[in-house]
Amino acid sequence: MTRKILIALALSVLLVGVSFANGQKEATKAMQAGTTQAAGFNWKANSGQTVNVVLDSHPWQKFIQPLAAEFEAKSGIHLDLQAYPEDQFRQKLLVNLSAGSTSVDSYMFMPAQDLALYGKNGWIQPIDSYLNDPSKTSPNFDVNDFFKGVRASYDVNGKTYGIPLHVETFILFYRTDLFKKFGLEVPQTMDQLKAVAEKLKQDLAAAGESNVYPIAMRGKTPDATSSMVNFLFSWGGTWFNADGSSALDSPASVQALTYYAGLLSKFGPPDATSNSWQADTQLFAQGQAAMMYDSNVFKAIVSNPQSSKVVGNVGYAPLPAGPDGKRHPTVLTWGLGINTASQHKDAAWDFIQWALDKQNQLGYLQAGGPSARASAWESPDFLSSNGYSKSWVDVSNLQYSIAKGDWNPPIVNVQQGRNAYGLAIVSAIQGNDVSTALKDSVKRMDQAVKEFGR
Amino acid sequence: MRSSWIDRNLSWVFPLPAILAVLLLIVGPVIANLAFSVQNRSWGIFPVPSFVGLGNFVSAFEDSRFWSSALNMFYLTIIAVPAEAILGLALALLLNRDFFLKGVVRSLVLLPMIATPVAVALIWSLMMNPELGVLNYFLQSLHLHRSLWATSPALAIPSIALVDIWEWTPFMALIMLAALQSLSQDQMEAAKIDGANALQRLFRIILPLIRPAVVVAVILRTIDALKTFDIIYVITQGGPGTASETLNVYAFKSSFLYLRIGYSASLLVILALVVVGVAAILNIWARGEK
Repeated sequence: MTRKILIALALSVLLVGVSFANGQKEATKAMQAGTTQAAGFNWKANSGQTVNVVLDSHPWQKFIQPLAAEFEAKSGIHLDLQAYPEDQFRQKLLVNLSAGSTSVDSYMFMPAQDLALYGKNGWIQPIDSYLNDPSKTSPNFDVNDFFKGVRASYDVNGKTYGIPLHVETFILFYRTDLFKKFGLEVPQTMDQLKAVAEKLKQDLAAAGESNVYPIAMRGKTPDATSSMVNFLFSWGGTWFNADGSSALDSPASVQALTYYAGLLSKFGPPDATSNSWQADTQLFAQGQAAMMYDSNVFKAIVSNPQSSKVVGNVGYAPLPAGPDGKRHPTVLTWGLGINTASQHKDAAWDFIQWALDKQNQLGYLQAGGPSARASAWESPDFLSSNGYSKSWVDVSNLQYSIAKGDWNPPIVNVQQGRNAYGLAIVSAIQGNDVSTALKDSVKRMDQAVKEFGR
Repeated sequence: MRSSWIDRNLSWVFPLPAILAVLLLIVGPVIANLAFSVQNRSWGIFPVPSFVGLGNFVSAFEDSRFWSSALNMFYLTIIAVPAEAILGLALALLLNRDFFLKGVVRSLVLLPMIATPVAVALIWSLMMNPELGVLNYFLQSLHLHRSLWATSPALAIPSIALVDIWEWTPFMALIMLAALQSLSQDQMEAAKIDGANALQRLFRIILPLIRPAVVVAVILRTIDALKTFDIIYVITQGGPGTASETLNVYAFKSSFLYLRIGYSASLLVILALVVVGVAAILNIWARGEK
């Protein structure tokens, strides 16, 4: 039955995939223009093997999948890329890894979501011996090219467990045409954000456009946690107290959630508690939301004429500053790792270093995906490419430079912790008492820590 | 030689594959689930599995989410099953008459039951979409207010019940139709001659006669409705928040999302006991009233 659900959900996710078709053409061009491999490294060392990779249905997966034939030609390795929608992707990995299955060689993962659990269970292979071996790693790979802070999140106790493929941060998307029409300034503080939403609501109603919501943000559990945490930090909240107990019922946390829930319930869509990025990007791309707070990766959807009606009218702004006058964004990263139980680790490593080489990371950035390599962001090819947006780059870089990495509760059982917080977010948006809801979160978070540790 | 050995042992050689399949696919998992339900365990070697006795059951009774999901489970069943029984009976009575293109209509009516539940749920979730769904379009063209359908906490369970009713009413109708068609026409004619009107015939003769079939249909549907998973998982994933989360959905999430296999197993033991209990009560009630 899970399979049926999977297939059904895969269909709906295909819609998102369409948006990346454009970027890929450019990426392929960049690839063809690029230099060939270094003379010294033998790409054919593991020729004839098969590498099975499990991927999340994700912009990066949509970018890399069509290029698989290139890797197969270069290495002689047969590549089997399997993509699943996020829930099914995690379930598939969980079942396979916990069973010690050899049918998964490499997989996508998020350090702040998975690394503690995978590491403790021994499901993920340290890759230092590959990185430090010139016979296994091409001299062109240049691991120091990846953003240092991002790379650090793949290290535990001095060992490296993966290579980043993508680095994202939540930013404010807004409609430049509507802001101009109503004479609005881009909000720089949380107070201004609320005032802008208020004014938008009145102006939109007066202009007969009450079907446009002032703002779209995540309201669904557990997805809203990734969005809400930026507000939690803006008000000075933290995940845990010094004594290790959950700090989600702190006054700062109550204020932050009161603000977030108020903003979304007053100025967001009425079904906000069922919405994650899929619905929000759709609202924004269809012109039904004047602002959207979500990951910068969704520029690829809202600035693509095939998926968006608002192309050319999208502005990007950083997370507004909190009451302390500072911005407190977080940064998320996806990467590739190797299954400890894999029988083809060398071949899997060949796949990773090809998939994340300079050309492909540049191609990914040109397709709208926030690459994890510094060289991609500085490349003249990127700066002169079609979809280049200076404000998107500036806003992204500003946030990367100040962002914190703990966008998830720093515990082993992350999903339970995310949901503990997510339920309170839903409850608050529905108009229930914020501090009661957060007390329940604290109880569930503490229980997750008690059972699985930090 | 070999064939004579088989001939001598026919009594257990022939059913052996079926017995093995049952042991492997039903008895094995049930025993494993019982064993898990008294342990604190996750998917891997961490945390190290440990015996906790009835600890998981105690945690369940202290967990507000357990109670809300149990309540949702009964709420869904209590809306869906009676509606399906009444509509199913009406449909069966209708299909028991002769009319033009009866065969075609009967096939069409049975279609929802044959369709894949996930596909059904997916289409309904599109139709119930508050922004783009066709149901709100109809409401609006009738000058009614748009509804949030399954995305509203108050309407989530009724919306799922609506899909369940659409999908499973034909099942009720099918069983009741079979019972209706086995009734003897003599009794009906005798009643007519005695001057019984249509309502009297329905309540005094038809219903008492098809009662055993109705009871079976209601018990089967109740068991299924208590265990509903696919429709809920596709349409709301138990949301918004936990507004449409039933025990089955919570147990699934407990193991596949929250990694608590032991706790999830204990929820499923409770669910199994509830289902068996409800079925037994319905059965006793049905017999007692004879």
